[in-house]
Amino acid sequence: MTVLAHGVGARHDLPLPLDLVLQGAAVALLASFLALGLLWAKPRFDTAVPKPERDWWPVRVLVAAGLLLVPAQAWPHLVFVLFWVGVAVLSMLLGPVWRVLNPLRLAARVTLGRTYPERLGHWPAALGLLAFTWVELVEPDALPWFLAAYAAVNVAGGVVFGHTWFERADGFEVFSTLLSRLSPLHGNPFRALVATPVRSGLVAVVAVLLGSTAFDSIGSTPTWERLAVPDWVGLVVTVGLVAGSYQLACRAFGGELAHSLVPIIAGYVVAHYFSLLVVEGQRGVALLFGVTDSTPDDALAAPVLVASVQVCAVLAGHLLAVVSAHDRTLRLLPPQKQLTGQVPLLVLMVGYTSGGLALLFAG
Amino acid sequence: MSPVIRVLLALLVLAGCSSAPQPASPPAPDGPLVLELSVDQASPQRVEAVRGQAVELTVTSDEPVDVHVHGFDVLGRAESGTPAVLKFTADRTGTFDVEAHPDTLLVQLVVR
Repeated sequence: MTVLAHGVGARHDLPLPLDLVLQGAAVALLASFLALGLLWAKPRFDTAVPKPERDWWPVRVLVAAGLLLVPAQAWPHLVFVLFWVGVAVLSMLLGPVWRVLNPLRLAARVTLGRTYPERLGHWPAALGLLAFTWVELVEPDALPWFLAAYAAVNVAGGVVFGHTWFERADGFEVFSTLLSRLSPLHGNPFRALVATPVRSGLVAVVAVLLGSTAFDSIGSTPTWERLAVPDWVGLVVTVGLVAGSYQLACRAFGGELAHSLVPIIAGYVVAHYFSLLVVEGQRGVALLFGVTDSTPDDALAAPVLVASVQVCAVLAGHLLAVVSAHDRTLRLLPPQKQLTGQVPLLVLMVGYTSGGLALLFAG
Repeated sequence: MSPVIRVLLALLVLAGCSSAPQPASPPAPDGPLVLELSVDQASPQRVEAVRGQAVELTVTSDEPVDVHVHGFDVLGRAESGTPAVLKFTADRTGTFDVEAHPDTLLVQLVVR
């Protein structure tokens, strides 16, 4: 097997047709400003109350035992496809699956019970996710080192700070929990989105998630290769651009609107990784069972299907994001500013969505 | 669900999903796609091919190097004075990297 930019897979999607990209961007723009004028004028989504949850330790013990049986050659597919993409998609559909499955959470059962420092917020999660996306997109060979470091840091964090560590500082759990707010199985997704706690570092997490997926598209173009800029520079700059543009458009709100970008992240993750999941996912499952010479079926990556999924996912994410941001700004802004105050965020979202579509065309 | 949301959803579905590209089958090409590539002066571009088309790549290099077409798993070796010649049929759709290992991108084949 050869290692590509993702660490796995040998095929990129076809570029989206340009007319589809332009139509998609036009729909996003139109829907956004229609929404501004036509949607409700009083906030209607209350914060969902988090439910108490069961302790899933037997599931985690099973996962830990299962991981010991994984053949060495299956690890890249397990991590880059089944875990990174699979857990993201399952979280959107079912709820916070990583908090249920994560075997490292067992460490919190023997905790010292120290209080997690408030000012750390989600910063460790943002750093962890940035490190992971660096491994995914720049240096896939570093995967074993990353996994060892991830396990060591999170066992230590869990022992010292208990469950709070995983809720706030484990990048994968923060990612999975953010996406799980979209799950239709847990009540109204808009109420779940509004309930996202605003902690320091939340914007950084969002920027890493959106920026790294965007750079994956940019970095696989021949144009990027011709520039001969190191990939890690591109990754950091793209994440920085996403963070900077959010800060610029939402400086009046701080992190209070970051949750409304979650549907955009979800839409772009689905668009970007759909074919990888359905094709390389098959190979990943085969590798888990020790089958190394399987040939995945390409049928689910047919060009028409992929293009349709991509455009629908990006636009659906955009629409959910616009509605969610609209409702939140009504609560945050004084009445006389409710219309004008939303415009910078809308422009930002249209920019992210058109940018995402353009990358599916170019990358 | 409010009527406004319904209108927006309908808009989305109409504009986003119904305009997905038709499975247009381009006319089968007569000749093979022939490309001359150089590892030493790599200037990667995107080149379009049609599914089912024959592809012939000639890759020159001053240093001995392995050349690989991802997705089709075609391998060749270029050395000083002996270019690598890779012939295969592009029978899958997608975008595929042609690389000189470890990581010099030579060309990207876009097979529709």
